[in-house]
Amino acid sequence: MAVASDMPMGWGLPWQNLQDRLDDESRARDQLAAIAPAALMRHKAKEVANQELLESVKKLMAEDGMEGGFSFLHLHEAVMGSQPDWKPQLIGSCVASGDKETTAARMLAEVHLFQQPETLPGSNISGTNNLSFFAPFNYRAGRKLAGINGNGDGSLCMTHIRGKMQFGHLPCDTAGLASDAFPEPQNQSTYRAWGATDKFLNEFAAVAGKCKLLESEKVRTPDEQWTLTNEHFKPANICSMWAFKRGPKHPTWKTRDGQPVYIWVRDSRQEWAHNMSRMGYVEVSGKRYGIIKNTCGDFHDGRSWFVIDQDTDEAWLRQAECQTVGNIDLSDSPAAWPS
Amino acid sequence: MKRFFFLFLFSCLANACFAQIKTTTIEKKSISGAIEPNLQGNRILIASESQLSISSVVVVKVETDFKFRRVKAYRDGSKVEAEQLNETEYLFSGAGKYLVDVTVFDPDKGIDDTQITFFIGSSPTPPGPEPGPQPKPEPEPAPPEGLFDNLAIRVAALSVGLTAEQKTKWNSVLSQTISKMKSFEFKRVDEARNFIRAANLPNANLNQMLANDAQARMLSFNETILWYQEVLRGLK
Repeated sequence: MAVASDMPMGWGLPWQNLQDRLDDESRARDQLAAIAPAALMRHKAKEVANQELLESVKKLMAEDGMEGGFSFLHLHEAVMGSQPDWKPQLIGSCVASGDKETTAARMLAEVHLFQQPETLPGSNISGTNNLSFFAPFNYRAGRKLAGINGNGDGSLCMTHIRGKMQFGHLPCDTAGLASDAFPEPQNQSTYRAWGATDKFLNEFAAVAGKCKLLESEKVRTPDEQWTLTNEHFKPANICSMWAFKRGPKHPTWKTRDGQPVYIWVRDSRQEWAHNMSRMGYVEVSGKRYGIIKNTCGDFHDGRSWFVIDQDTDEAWLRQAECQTVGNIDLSDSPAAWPS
Repeated sequence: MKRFFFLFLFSCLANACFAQIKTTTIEKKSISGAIEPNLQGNRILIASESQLSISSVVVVKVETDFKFRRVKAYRDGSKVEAEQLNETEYLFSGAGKYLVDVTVFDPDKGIDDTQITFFIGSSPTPPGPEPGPQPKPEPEPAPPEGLFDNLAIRVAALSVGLTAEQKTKWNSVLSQTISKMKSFEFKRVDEARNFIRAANLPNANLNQMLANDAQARMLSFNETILWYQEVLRGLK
């Protein structure tokens, strides 16, 4: 049976050690801070304008045993009808594949929780009318800024974020955009061709440049992530070498299907050079847990997500590169009546 | 007639001080209609033929050390122009719910933005016989009646020629649209708009008025639901 470790990983380059990768991330952040410091600062939290939707999210969370906090998985469910079920990554595109999920989650918050007068890029999780932007465009933008070219896999979290700020995002229904699947090709050669050179990046730069990421903040502690999740509604990408394994069963926590929830812990016998998505911070029986979504597939007790406690998270964040996905300048909401 | 503002400071709401933009929203009163105003100590002398009216206004102060700034404002979803009083202050008048987007940019520092919302109470009221220097604060202003510039009334006026059958069709299409938006079957406004377009609703004048009105507004998803509800209200 396949396990997450069998999937291609893609944080940094294969010959780099942890410190090399963290140094690259740190350098990329300093370079961005030098030219656009406001893009990395904490901004004022936006108010939730749709309390009814927030209540629906909390109700769905409660069905899964979550007593407090906020989960983007359940925001997705409240709007889209089910929890996110994107196709797993096929190549070492985890930085782009995971970011695609956090970006979609943030857009749902902007349009439906905050009620910003903006529009989602699409309404489905497959096909060209897609909630997500086309991930390979951002994959190339991040790799370009990291100086990674050619058909090998891999990228950096921080240059990926900067690429979203500099080059924007490409809607899947863009005229002339061809792929066997959306928002990510299921043909590995197609995906790698996007990441290899600037060819497609240049071709679609004008369209993508209209929707840019405006802000991102480094997450250093679980408390910061709690605040950023529950007050600012910002999911985050986390790149690290940490592998995880199932830990102890929570004494009372069960999801709505009656399955117990296990608290996952570090597996120090393995390393995953991998990006994952921080999709919520919730409270159960008075303790806080981070919800981590893995684009590798349903390898975590039959789910694509798992939970970690704050102590694990505290240690993990010290050895990881973690950046939020903040406000995105989406297209303005269209006129309500046909002309 | 000269327009003259005499500004009573009622309250000062320090809104935000984040990163590179500090915005302050100040509720004030504006007296207009004063002819030849002349400030004498704490009195204003005006020509006897002056016909005064007092209205609520809001001054938004934007302080930043960035080089460029852009202030975009919407009242009840429609874009409005802010009256710039000086380098840092913008005046907003007219009843409604305001959304003000402030974006600052600096080649060396990047970009930053913030958003402010506030209400300005309903229509101007005539002043009392002797407005004192320290009048009591107004109660919280209620949202203005006749949403979207009396959209329902305008719809009612233009829908008089519809037959019962046509009106039923309009009602049905709008009710379905609202229901599909509330249930998130439609997740985007353009899905609602396409649904309405496909229904090919009769009455060119009414359609044109609604298209023009919608074109002039920037509405969120839920404000669009409210807009459709007003159309429905007008039809009824």
